[in-house]
Amino acid sequence: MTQSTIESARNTSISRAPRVAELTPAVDIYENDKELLVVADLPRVTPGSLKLEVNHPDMKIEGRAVASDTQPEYLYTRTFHLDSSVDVGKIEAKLSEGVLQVHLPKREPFQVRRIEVKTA
Amino acid sequence: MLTRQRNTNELQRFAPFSLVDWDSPWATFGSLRQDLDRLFGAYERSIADPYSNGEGASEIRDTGNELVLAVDLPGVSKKDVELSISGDNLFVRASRTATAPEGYTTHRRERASFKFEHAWRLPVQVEAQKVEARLAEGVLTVTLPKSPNAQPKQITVEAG
Repeated sequence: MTQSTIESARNTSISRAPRVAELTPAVDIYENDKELLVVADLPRVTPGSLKLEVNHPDMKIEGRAVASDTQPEYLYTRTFHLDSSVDVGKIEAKLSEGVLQVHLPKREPFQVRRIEVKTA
Repeated sequence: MLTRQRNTNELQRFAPFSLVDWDSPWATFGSLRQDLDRLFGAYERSIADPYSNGEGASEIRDTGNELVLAVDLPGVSKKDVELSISGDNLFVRASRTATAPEGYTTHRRERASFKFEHAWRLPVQVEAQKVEARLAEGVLTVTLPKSPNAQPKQITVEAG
């Protein structure tokens, strides 16, 4: 090990520079006749530090949890591939108790329609 | 003290010799052991569970007049948190049950149910009657005011 490697290793361990830990949030995906529902655990993420971006066909969740003296900054990222059944313009998201819920409504022709069978 | 077990990205966080107290070098071994425990904990956990529910990460901060405990508890509602103080021990018990919303079929299920239980030995005396707890953004924040004789005092040095 050269002198400079030792030096840089020492500097790394001494520095209190903000560190970012990248995490993959746990996600549930549900579906009913009308929509898909994505649920993700994002503790410490506030609505202001959460980005939900749809760049068809990708939907990206990016949440930042701020750093403190002893905790590093957390960056939660997860990207999903949307198929053409999702009505991108009607996507709605809600963040509560550190849990994100993204509602992805299906476009009309993809919604399940139940037809009542009549007796003749 | 920070208790945390997360995935492998966390490995970079372990810097056991970042602060060596040369006046009591043996203390360093204690913190080294803690770091190693955390390191292997994080490693084992990353194999068992690649996704982060993010539960249980916690820290205690000393702001001078009070101690502030923060525990990450995503998706836990108020009624499922139990908090108690006994002497200089603080207990937190919390749980959540992961259930599929009604009327939906499940495609993917990573968010697990969990039971979180932890006890902390408080480093100073606190006023148990004035402890306040708040649950927001999936984080439980407990503010513990120090008892008057544990609060920092300025002592003026007089020239004699």
